[in-house]
Amino acid sequence: MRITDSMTFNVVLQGQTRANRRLLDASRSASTGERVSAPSDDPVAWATAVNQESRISRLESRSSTVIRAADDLAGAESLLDQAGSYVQQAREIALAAANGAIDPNTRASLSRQINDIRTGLLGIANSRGVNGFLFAGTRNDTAPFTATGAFTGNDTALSVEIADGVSIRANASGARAFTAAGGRDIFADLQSLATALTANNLTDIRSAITNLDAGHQQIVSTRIDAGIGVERLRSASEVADTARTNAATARAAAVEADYPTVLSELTNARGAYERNIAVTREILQVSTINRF
Amino acid sequence: MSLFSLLNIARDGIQVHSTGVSVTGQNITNVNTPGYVQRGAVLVTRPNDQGGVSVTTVARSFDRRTHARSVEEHGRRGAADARSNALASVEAILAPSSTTIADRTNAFFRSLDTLTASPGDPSARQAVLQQASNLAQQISNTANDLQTQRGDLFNRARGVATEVNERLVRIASLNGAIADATNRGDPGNDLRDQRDQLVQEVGDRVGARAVEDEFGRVTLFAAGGVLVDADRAASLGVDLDPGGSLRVQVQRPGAAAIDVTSAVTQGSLGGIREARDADIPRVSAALDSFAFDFATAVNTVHSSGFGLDGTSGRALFATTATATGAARSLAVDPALVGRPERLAAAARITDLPGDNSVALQLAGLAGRPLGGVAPPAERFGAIAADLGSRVAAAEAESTLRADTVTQADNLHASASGVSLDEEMVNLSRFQRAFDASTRVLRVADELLDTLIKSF
Repeated sequence: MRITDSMTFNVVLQGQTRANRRLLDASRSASTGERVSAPSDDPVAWATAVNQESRISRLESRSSTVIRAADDLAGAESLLDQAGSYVQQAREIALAAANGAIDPNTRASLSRQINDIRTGLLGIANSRGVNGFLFAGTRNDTAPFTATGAFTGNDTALSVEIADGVSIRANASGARAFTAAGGRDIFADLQSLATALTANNLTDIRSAITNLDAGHQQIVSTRIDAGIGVERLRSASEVADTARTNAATARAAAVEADYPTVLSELTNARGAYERNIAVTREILQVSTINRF
Repeated sequence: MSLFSLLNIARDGIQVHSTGVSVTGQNITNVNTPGYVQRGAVLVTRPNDQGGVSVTTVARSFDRRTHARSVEEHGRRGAADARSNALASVEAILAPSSTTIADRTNAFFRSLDTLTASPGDPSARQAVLQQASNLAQQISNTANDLQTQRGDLFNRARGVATEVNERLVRIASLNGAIADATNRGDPGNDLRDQRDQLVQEVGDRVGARAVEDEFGRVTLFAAGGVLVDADRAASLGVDLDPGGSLRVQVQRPGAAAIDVTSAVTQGSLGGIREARDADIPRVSAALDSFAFDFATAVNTVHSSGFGLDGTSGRALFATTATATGAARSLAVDPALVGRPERLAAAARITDLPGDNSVALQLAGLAGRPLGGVAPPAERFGAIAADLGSRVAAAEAESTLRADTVTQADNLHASASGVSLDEEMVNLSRFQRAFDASTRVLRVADELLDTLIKSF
C-alpha cells in the first residue's frame, strides 16, 4: 500500500482530534464534578437525575411546609395549655366562691376576676399564627370569637401532606376546644359563673364547677391532639429529610463524577494529548525531502 | 545506428526526463490540492530500433473504484454529521444546561406546596401564578425554538440544494470539456480532477454515484435519479409539502419535476431531512403531549376548587383542545393573570379562605402519573432521555462514519494520491537520467568533433 502525504496527515489529524476530545471531556468532568451534563452523555443517568431532583425538590418543600405547620400547631398547643390554666383558675375561684362562709361582696369581687379570665381566654382563642388565626379552622382571616364569645370560625381541618398521598390535620380545633362542639361552651360557662357570682347564686356557682371541669377536660383533650399532631409533623419532617438525603445520594451516584477517577482520566488524557503531539512531531520529521 | 542518431537519443532522454521532472514537480506542487490525482509520464521506447524514448501521455493514477467508495462514504458521513449537529442543537433547546422544563415544573409544585400552608396568603398565590407562568413560558419557548430549528434546517436544506445545483452545472460543463479533450487526444487530466472533486462534493451533500462513459463523461446518480447526464444537468428543488415536511424534487431540462424526497437519505441533505422531519417532530409531539396532559390534569383539579372570590370552574392554564400545538400555546389562563385571588385552593366555598384541599391536590400532582404515564418531571426526563439516546446514537454514527471516510479516503489516496517521498525519489531518478542524457550528448558531440578533426 502506498502511503501518501494526505494519509499521513489524516492519521495525525484524527489522532489529534480524538486526543483533544478526550482531554476536553476529562477537563469538563473535572471542573464541573459531573459525569453527565447533557442527556446524550448518559440518557438513563440523566433521566434518573431528573427524577431524583424532582423528588428532592418535593421533599424540601414538604419538609419546609411541615415544619412551618408544626411551629403553628406547637404555638396552638402552648396556647391551649395556657387556656387550660385559665379555666383551672376559674374553677378554683368557683370552688372558693361555693364556700358558704364567703360574703356576697367577696363573690362580686370574684366575679370581676372571672371576667378578667374570660377576657384573657378570649385573647388566647383569637391568637394569630403564621397562617392566620390559630383556632378559626379555615376561616382564619378573621378572629373566630366575638367579644361575647360567639364562634364565627369553623372546624374544618387545614391539612398538610406528610407523605405521598398522606395528609394530617395541622390546625388545632378552636371549635372543639372552646365551644359546645367539644362538649361545653366555655365562654358561656364563664359568663354564667360571673353572673352567678354577682347574683350570689350558690346553686349556679356549684354547677359551674362541674361545667368548668368538663371545659378544662375538652381543652386538655384538644391540646393533646395538637401535641400528637406536632410530633407527627416533626417526625414527618425528619423522614422527609432522610428521604431527601437518600435522593441526593441517588442523584449523585447517577451523574456525579468519582473524583479520583476523574483526576486519573484527566492525567491520562493530558498524557495522551502530549504523546500525540510528540508522535506527530516525529511523523512529520520523518521525510526524504532533505535527504536527496 | 549513426552518431547523429546518438544525438537524437540524447535529445529524447533530455526531453523525456525533463518532462519527468516537470510532472514530478507538478505532483509536488499539488500535494495539497483537493481532488488532485497523481500524474505519471508514460515513457515508451521509440519504434523501429531508433533507440530513443518518448512520452506518450501524462496519465492520472486514478482508481475509480476507490473513488466511488470514497464518494459513497462521504455521503454517509454527510448525513450522519448533519443529523448529529442538528440533534445537538435540539438537545440544547430541550435540556439547556441552566434551567430545564423539569426545573420549572419542580418550582411550580414547590410554590403549590407553599400555598397549601398559606392558602389565603396573596404572596403565596402570586408566587404560584408566577411559577405557572414561568413553566408555561419555558414549554412554549421550547416548542417555538424547536419550530425555529425546523425553519433553520429548511433554509439549510435550500442552501445545500443551491450548492448541489452549482456543482451539477459545473460537472455537466466539465463533462462536455472532457469529451472535447478526449476527442482531441488530450486526457484532460485537470478537467477530470476538477470534475471528480465536484462529484465528491455532491456526494457530501446528497450522496452520489458516478458512472464514466467511453468519452470520459460521468453520469451522476443521486437522490434516486440522474442528476447529470453527459453535459446536461438537472437541478434539485427544495420546498415544503402541505404537511410542512421537506419536499425534494428533481427538475430535468424540459421535463416535469419528480418528487424524490423519500430517496434523499444520504449526504447532508439526507441528514437534515431526517433531523427536521423525523427527530424534531418526535420531540415536538412528545412535548405537546406532555403540555396537554399537564395542563389538563392541573385544570381538572383547579376547576373543581374555589378562588377567594368564591368562583369555581376556572382553568389555571390556557391551551389547545387537543394535544397538537399544546406546548406552543400553553400559558396561564388570561382570567387569572394578575388576579391571584382567583387561584382555586379551597374545595368548598364555605371554607374560604383557609381551606387548602384543592391546593393539596394540585401539589399532589407532582407525584401522580401524568396521562397515566409518569409524574410530570419524570415524564419530561423520559422525553429528554429519548432525545439524548438519539443524539448519542447520531454522534456515534458520525464518529463511525468519520472513521470509514478516513479509511475510504486513505484507500483512494493510496491509489491516486501524491506521496512526497515517492516524488522525491522520482525527482532524483529523473534528474540522474537527465544528467546521464546530457553526458550522452556531450560524448556524441566529442565523438563527432573527433571525427571532423580527423580529416
